[in-house]
Amino acid sequence: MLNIKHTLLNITVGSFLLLGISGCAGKNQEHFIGKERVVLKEHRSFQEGKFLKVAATFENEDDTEVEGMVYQVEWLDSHGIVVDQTAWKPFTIIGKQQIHVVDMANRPDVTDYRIVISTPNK
Amino acid sequence: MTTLTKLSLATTLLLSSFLMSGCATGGAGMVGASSNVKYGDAKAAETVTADFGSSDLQSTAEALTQSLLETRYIAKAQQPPKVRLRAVNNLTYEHIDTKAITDKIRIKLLKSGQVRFLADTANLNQVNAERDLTTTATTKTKMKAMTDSDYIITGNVRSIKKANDDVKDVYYNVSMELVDPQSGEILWADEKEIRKVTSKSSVGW
Repeated sequence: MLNIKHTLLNITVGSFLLLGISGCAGKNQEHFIGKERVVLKEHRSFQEGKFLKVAATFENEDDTEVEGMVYQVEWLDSHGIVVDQTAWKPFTIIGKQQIHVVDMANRPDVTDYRIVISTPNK
Repeated sequence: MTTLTKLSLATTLLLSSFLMSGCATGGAGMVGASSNVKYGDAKAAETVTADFGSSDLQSTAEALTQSLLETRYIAKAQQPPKVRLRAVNNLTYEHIDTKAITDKIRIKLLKSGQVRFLADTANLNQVNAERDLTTTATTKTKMKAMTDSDYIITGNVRSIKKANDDVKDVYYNVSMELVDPQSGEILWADEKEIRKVTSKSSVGW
């Protein structure tokens, strides 16, 4: 009984640790408009001097369908207020293709970001 | 009151309210809300034609500003360097307001707080006129000397166009460089490439 308790405790602590390690790159930093025909495979941010830099990877998981998309990065300050955003950037992604993008804020007060993805109606 | 009378009264009220409202439908703070003119997202990706457009201007300015801010001459500078924008040459066959590109870059760089800008050569006449006015029309007889630029920014916009009966392909290349005016050394250079394809048979995405 004691062993089971220990195992459960370990699993719980381990899960919390894993959550902690995975950081804050969560769903609140992604926002899809329209159908999610393109996948935001991963995204992460790091500090480049005084500015926040974001690297993201988009993928078209479909084999045959060519997808068009636009994305925009919204830059947030420490209060969670959008202080700037990039232009909407268009891409055409063929089947199974991955596209890597890097964007950097040009204001030093930017501390967080949100990637907004939009795919046009077909 | 009969049902018929009630109905005619309701119809009259409805018609009169419609007539009084006229054609200028809309709410407070709106004029001509029923017209075909709509405000759109200024940062939206625009694909009306393959010519150099607002999206190209914005993406070019963003990419080159990002690259400039990463260069050690700006990122690692002890003091924000003083920069003067020089002309960006339009070497394409279409009209492109290249000053719009450099102005946008300047706004972004100024917001970063990493760079200071001196008046453009095009605006120097205005600055000199103001200085003359200050020394002649006010009690101030001496002006401090104008400051030198640490760096200048120049560049070129080029395009290659190819077309057949079905496809039109346009390639834009916007290149810029940061030059030390004392030594003439090019300290940084980068480019933004844009490809736009128009297909007659295509129905878009």
